Amino acid sequence: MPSQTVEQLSHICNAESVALVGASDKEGSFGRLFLEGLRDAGCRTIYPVNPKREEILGIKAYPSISAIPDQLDLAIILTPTGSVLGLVKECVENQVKGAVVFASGFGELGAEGKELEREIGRIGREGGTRVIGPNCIGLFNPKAGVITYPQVLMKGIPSEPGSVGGFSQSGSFVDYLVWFLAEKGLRFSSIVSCGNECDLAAEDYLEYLGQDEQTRTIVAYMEGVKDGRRFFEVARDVGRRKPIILWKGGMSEQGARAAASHTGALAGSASVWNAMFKQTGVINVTSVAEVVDCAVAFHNLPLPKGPRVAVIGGQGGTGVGTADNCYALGLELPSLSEGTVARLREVLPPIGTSVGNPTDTGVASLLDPSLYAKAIEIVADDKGIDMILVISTPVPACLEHVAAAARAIDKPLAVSVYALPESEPEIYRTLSAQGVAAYPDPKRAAYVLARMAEYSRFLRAHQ
Amino acid sequence: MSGGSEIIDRARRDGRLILTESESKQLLASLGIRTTQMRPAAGRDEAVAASREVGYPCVLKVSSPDITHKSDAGGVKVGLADEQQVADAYDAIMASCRAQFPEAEIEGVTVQDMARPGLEVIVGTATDPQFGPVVMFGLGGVWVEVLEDVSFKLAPLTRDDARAAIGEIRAARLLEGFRGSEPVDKAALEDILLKVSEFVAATPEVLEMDLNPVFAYPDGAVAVDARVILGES
Repeated sequence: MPSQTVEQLSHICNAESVALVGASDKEGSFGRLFLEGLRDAGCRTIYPVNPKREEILGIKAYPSISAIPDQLDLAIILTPTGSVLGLVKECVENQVKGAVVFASGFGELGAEGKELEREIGRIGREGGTRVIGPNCIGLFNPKAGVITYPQVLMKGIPSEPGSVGGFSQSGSFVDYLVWFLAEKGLRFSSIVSCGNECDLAAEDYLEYLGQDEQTRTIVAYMEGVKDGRRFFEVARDVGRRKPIILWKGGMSEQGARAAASHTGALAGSASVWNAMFKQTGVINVTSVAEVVDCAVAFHNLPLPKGPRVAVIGGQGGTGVGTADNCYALGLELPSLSEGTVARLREVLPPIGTSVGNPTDTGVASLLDPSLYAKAIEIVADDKGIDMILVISTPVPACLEHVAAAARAIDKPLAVSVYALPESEPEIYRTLSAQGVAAYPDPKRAAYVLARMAEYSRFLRAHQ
Repeated sequence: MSGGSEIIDRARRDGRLILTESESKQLLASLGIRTTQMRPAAGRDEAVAASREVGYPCVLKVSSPDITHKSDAGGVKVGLADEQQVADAYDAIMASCRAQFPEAEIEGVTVQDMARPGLEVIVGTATDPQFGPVVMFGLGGVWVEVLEDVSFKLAPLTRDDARAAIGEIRAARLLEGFRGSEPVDKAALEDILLKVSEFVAATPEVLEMDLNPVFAYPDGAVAVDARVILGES
């Protein structure tokens, strides 16, 4: 049974009738960028609001929200700080289900702004118009055609729907994140920019994305939490159904706390957040690269059934160093079964290769790229192996075989390619488009596999 | 014996935010947590009489709402083997505490049985401003300050959470038995964590608790010292 907040957010994120307050045809204005964005993304019904205009970009305009004859799902408010309270009251009077407030100049400026935003949040919540923001960049939902992310609109990122959902307490980060993940071939359900959270907050977005059938993987960036207890409860529920990849900022302890007990002195914010991650299964990461790397792997690959990895390298391979990375991250590299070893010996030439864990396909794989695929498929059949890490040469024929084998097996496979993304971006685009989790460093491949093994263990322990 | 809420109410009426050791242990006992036996004694003769009931060796600790760091004040004497040693220890404790804390209200001492040695662990609780009550487990005694080898869980804990809290400390292997010592009774430690977790989750008046040390044995565990801190109401 979805909560009232989830139902309200479902209406807002999938809005079919949207008012754009502050719509404009002025070149270079947000009012125009967003109006064009909504129109081009396929938003069902758009109502530009601007008291000075009869129509904007050929779309009939209205002088106010009250003048719109339709039942609105969402009002996107672009007008300045001083207008927001009145507009939210007008939304309440007209039973608009949600409002996104872009304006800054509220709680982040001090007590007076804080008071004003509290008032806006209270009026909205009590009146049935749930408020996103203020000081945010709004919503990204390609299916509903509700897209208000400036980078996304200006760069023309593919807007077909997908199943990665997310929320972020940094507006600009989420704008870039969508871009980065789109480059990796991922597509989106709903992504919300939280802003100052005067009403709806991270825990509400998490609850909604947990319930949203379209969303399979959740990515998030947070710095604080409004209702930690509720966040914990929601995360404990959602974390058992969908991976939540969360970058939490502000984890550095500023000295010891003054407390009358040992426990009080040691219970710093980082200790408590880390406890929360372990109890809820939240996959906590600490950089942009880790958010993106994990999102790709968790979204595209099946979960490993255990911590046992097989490393398969090729020409120029660094299997031994990669094995160290795997061990350091808590993975195991067991010996391959006798049957697996015998089958590998049959297909790999005896010179310049080595069979085991790691296995090295050697220079031979340059002459016969199919050796990669053969080795991967043989190792994937080994019952003692839960996942595979491949270190591949950047030769396109080799990569094609790796990608084909990755699709053919039912165990997770991450690839490290000997190619810098800066100099050979096409390699990564091609692999990403095929849903292959590819990284320019074996340690990054080992990292995502280790995080998946950890999450898989969490799920098994909480079935 | 008073229940936890009575003890808390009494302390608050007296304007105290830190429960005495005696109150803290009564509170733990009301939760079903084993503590060392303790008997209050208001004077030397009472202390000697109490020591006869508790048995030897025994421990004397100063009892005062104003002295929380009892060892530092010379208010703790351990390993007392007979009546004479108890009487001498009583005099020494009074002299030292009165000298160091002339303003303190001193009720007397508590006479406690000396727990047999065990692995010293700490069980504690704190209140996080964002997430509310949390429970801590770690290596106890003096080690908690030096090594800070502890793990946290948000309350209320499940049995799995309690098990994980114990398994997550760096020195978890010590609990499995080390160099010939028997493994400690982890189920008994889990029980303490769960009882404390349930109590703080239901009692917002409690800000922090330290059960330190808790002696963990191959059979059971006992809280040897305890301190409960209340929040400003």
